[in-house]
Amino acid sequence: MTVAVRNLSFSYKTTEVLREISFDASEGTLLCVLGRNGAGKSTLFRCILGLLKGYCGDILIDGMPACTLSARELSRKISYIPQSHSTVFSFSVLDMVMMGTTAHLGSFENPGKKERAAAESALDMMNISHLKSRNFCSISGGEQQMVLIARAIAQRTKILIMDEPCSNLDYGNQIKVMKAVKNLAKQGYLIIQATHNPEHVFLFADEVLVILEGRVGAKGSAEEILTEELMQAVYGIRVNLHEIEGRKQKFCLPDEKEISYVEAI
Amino acid sequence: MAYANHIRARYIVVIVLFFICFFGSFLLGKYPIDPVTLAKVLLSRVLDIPQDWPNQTETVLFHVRMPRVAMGAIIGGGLACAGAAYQGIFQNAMVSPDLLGASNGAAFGAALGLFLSVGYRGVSVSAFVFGLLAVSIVFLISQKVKFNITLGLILTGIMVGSVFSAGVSYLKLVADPTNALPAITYWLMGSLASIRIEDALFAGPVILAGILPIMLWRWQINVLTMGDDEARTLGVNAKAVRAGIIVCATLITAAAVSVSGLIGWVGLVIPHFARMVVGDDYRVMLPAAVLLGSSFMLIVDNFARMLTTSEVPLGILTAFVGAPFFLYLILKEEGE
Repeated sequence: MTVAVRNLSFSYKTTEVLREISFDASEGTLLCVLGRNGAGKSTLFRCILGLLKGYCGDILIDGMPACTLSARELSRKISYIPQSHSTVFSFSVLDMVMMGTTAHLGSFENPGKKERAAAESALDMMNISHLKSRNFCSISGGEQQMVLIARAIAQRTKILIMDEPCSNLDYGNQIKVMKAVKNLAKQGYLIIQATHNPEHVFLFADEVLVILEGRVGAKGSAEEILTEELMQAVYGIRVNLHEIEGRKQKFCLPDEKEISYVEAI
Repeated sequence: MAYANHIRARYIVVIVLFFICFFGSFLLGKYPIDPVTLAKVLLSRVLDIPQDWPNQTETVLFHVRMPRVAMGAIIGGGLACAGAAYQGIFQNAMVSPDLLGASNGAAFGAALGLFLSVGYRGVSVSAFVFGLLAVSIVFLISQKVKFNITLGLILTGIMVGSVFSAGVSYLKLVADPTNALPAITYWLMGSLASIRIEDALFAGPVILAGILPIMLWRWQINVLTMGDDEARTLGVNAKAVRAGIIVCATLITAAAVSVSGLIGWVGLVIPHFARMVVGDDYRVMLPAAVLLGSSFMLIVDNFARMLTTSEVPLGILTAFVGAPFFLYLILKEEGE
């Protein structure tokens, strides 16, 4: 399972959003994509998922150009985990997870026993079997995110793409979701995830891809590439990196000057 | 699983209700038929039963009531099916099957047919053709919309629909006030009273042919309610399924309107009611909506022909019943 992006460029009309992006990612990796709002993270994901056409360059999924695959073929290789969201109609958690099996069904086919079993084992894998009969709309945001991950597992793809799964979640749920995601990476999944939280990157990411103004700013392990200079370039504020001795864990804080206005007022 | 059993029980009630409404409708009318005679006459077609009923009963049953009851059931079920499918693919529970102008187009076609006095058959055909034409125009124009395909469809549907309804108004203005105008006005109110066997043989198969693919697609509709992007990444060709459902729903609506006139509310209210009874899962909800639509149409039509000495147009009754019922559903939904 590999995703290889080669010289990917994309423009909306005259506005260039992505410029010559290239990177590789392979199974067993949690790849976090960092970048400020509007840097092109979502556009990159939409290109990989086949939702945006008309890009330049190549996206290779297991060595095959993604643009030659149909929506159906692509959906058997990559699954998409959106942010937890409300739905217009209410479905049970089990039905929601079973939607992941659609990629393996005929167009006129309803999911049967086999699909139901697949959905139940996916719920089991995420330790949320107790939610099975609940209404998807009535469970918490964190639980919804877990259900959407279970849906991707039921889809039986090894590549998962997640768009900021932790936005809208409380602190505890953020860590729970990140732990679950990290676990999946350890089991051999390739997870490409946009994130806004540098702490998550330091804590969980195997690799980081930094997108700066639509280009690849840096790629590598968090410890190596995430410097104060890079963080400043990405977010436009001065940032200090600190390390906690006992835990060998880096984290970042905004520079004192950034928050000095608090005293000035 | 307790949840599923409780849904299953309700689903069975819906099926039983349909059969009661279907066979009950044969009994009611100005010429009542008792259940035993009904059973005998129906069975006499397949079994050898000595005739002990007047020939008139047979005539009423097979030539008057049969086409009417059958078409009532098919049209009610069809409109509910089309409405439920549209609500799914447009991710909006407030959508009805005339969203893309099928009814307005068909109404214009019928009014034009009546205006030109092309005969009974011609009116149906003209209505059907204009219904399809209206939606085709909407579909072709909306393909040029670049920002949001779904919104483009809905907006073009409203625009094209209002052009056709202006056309109807114009035809009424210039129509001969003694013959054509009342004919158009009465036709627009919708009725099953004048349905003949030929109508049933023309519109019935078309509507059933529209219902079948939608029924088969019901799991895909579930996935489509997640939105196009998500549906695509789940392996559903959102555009193709949506186009297919629009074609089927248009066939249903245009065929229904071409033989019965405008019958509103069924396509909006019944899917809601079905959701309340069996939930939102289209695998159960869609067949339940079809059965409830049929039952509703048959009940209302029974009132239409029994209420007063002259028939009350069905379209008026569905609005009288549909609108308050819809309000009731909304209020009840909020309370839960």
